[in-house]
Amino acid sequence: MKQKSSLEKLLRRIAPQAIIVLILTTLMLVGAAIFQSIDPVLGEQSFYEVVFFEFITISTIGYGNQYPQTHASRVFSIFFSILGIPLLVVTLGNFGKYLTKFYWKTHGWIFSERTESELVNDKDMPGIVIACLYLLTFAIGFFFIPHSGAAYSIDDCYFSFISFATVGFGDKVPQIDTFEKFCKVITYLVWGTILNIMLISYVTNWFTQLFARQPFRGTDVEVMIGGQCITVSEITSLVAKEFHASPHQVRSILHDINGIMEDMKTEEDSEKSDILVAQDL
Amino acid sequence: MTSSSRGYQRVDSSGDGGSLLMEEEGDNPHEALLHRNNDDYASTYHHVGVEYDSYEELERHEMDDRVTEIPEGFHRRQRRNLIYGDDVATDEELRVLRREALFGEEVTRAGLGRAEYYEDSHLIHSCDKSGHEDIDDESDDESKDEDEEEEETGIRKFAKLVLPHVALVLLTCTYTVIGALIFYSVEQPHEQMMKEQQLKLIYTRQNEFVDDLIRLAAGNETKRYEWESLAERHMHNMSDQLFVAFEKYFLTSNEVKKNAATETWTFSSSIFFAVTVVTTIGYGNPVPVTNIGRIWCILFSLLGIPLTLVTIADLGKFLSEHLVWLYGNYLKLKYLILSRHRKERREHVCEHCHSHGMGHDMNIEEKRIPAFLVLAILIVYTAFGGVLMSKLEPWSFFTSFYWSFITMTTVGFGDLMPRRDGYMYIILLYIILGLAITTMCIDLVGVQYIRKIHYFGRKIQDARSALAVVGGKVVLVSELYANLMQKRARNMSREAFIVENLYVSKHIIPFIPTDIRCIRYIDQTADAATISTSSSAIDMQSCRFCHSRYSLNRAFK
Repeated sequence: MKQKSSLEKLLRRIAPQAIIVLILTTLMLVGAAIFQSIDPVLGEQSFYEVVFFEFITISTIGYGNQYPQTHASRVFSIFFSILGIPLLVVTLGNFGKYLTKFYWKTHGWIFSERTESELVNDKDMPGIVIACLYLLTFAIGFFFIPHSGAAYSIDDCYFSFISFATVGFGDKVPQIDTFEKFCKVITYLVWGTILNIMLISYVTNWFTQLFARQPFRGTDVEVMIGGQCITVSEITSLVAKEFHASPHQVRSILHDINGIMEDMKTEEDSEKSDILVAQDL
Repeated sequence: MTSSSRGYQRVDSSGDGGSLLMEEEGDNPHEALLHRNNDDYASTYHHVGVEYDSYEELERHEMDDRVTEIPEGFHRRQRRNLIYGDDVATDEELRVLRREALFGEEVTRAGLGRAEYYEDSHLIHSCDKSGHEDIDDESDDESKDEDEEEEETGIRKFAKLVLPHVALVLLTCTYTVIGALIFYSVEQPHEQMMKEQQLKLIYTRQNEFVDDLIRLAAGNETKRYEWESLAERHMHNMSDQLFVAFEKYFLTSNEVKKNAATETWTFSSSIFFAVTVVTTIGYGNPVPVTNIGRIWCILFSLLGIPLTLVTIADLGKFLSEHLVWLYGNYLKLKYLILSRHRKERREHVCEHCHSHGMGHDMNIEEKRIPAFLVLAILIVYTAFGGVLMSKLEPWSFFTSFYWSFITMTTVGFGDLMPRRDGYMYIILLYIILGLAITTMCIDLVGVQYIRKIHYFGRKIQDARSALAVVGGKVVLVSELYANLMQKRARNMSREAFIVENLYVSKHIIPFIPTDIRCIRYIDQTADAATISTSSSAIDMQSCRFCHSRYSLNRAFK
């Protein structure tokens, strides 16, 4: 019974992700078929090359070695990217999250400690781990990923990084003349993009901490109440209006309530902390 | 049925300012915990307050807001001094010091526990950074009550709000320009050298061809075959040479005709290139060809891309807030015009809430921007780009429209490239504004849907699986709680913990999506599902305030 429920739990956790991936795959395949039928240039290319073009488009790499050329296919590419870009971003972002969670789980398991980070919803991987993963990826790219630049040189790193960062100049493009190469390249790019999302989130957090550190006022917090999003200060003024009082009076009442709660709390303080510790263990 | 959807129903504002305690019904072991948790926070809040002698003093200093502000201001000051070394804020520092003296060492200690503090602020301050320019009515009220010292610093307060944003934009601009300068200084000489070399090679080929022709003519050669083979050989040589020159060194036919290399890497095209890198558009023309240029490109984008992301998100947030403000005004206007003629649309309020004084006449302002408006803005902007580019470039309207779409989604194929001359800066401005607008649209619409996705399929059975919006981030209450407890256990000093998490307690807000009434739960039991589906839509209504589903017939019998 318990096993079944845990299996169910697992399934429920996986199901949404699987559905998203399924939708994405369907979209890519159907899109490829449509691209081939409406664009003569893309129509001449093999099916997986068109799929690759779609991937390059919706990952916003956009090398530019393949692009839609008729009006019809350009219109279609607009709609295709409107659907595809968010879908791919969500998919890759989720994979990144799972990877991070997996890392923290393993980390906790190896050091056999319940780290605080294990419990946090979305803590980034440490920068050093991301850097190591990057180096590993570059090493793999160095030996196994064929591209149009000079192999075994700085070109490998340059090509990889520019692709992962979704800049995609298109001066170095991966070679996908066989299906096997196509598989290798697309796995590499997907992995690299996930890695890059993690890196960017890491550096972005760093920058965010550097700069946009605004005072956080309680009154500006947005609250979902009655299905609407309003700020706390608005609630206060609403309540004040309702009782024909000034916002100031309401605030003083709230202060009083807090005082009362404090008194209530001090009475049970000692036993409470015991229970909390017990819960913690 | 009603009881199944009770767990998350009520949001009672019973704390001070922002403190909203969650009241849970039903007999759940965790619920009690959460209560205690909240009480705990409420008390911690008071703990600091004890230091004031009178209530007035407490009020005057607005402890609840300022306590969070101080360590922050403290840090920012330190950091700003580190970064800019400016002396703008010396008396600012004095104020901070004075406050420190007021609040005692707890705050200081919390402020010094820097690492933990950052973790926290990461949790709390993650989202809303620029939302403070709009100072609402209430804080106006407050500022009237502030003593003269506070009024005097009104301008400075504003500057304090604006400065980080301006600094961010300036830093990004400086970073891009410096990056572009390095690209220019690395790539330009190399490019010049290479192009000249290529031109020399091409003209050597041409001379060889002429020499051979002269030799044949001098030998009075009349066989057509000889001439043909010679021409063919030289043509192949020449086309190989030309192809390499065009493909690899970006030589143009005009340059070959004039035998003079023009610069691809001018200063303005370097800036264009740097912008396409940091915005990840990446048209691919020009590109760095030297190894140093490529390594610099990697390093440059490593920091530049996230920096630009932050900046553009900041700009987008700014835009979205103004849009919300505009839309709010529009709604007010509409309400004013229509209120006389329109019949009041009634939302249902259940008896329970009614008895608590929440009536139909309670007017909660809705500030949600409809998705179609946002989409319209996006399309209008893209179309504007279409018009603009079809004026500046020899493109048709649709081609321009396609270009601006591909650019604003940062795909950047590079099949269509704007010319890089005098108009380049206008185009860059268009691109950056476009990216900010795209971010704004995602901020306005995407966030709603993402929250809904998070919420979807999770029936809230107890407090621990409830979702809370903390500083704009959706988290599980249980995780948040566990996190806090962990921190508490680790922190030997109780006070430090308290001050650190003071604001957390006030901002745990149960999250309820706007259209909760329409959402069916995935994990609802079969029985409940059949009941709720069997009852007709008219029959089942949910309350506007507490969201409990109830039958109309029963309620209004």
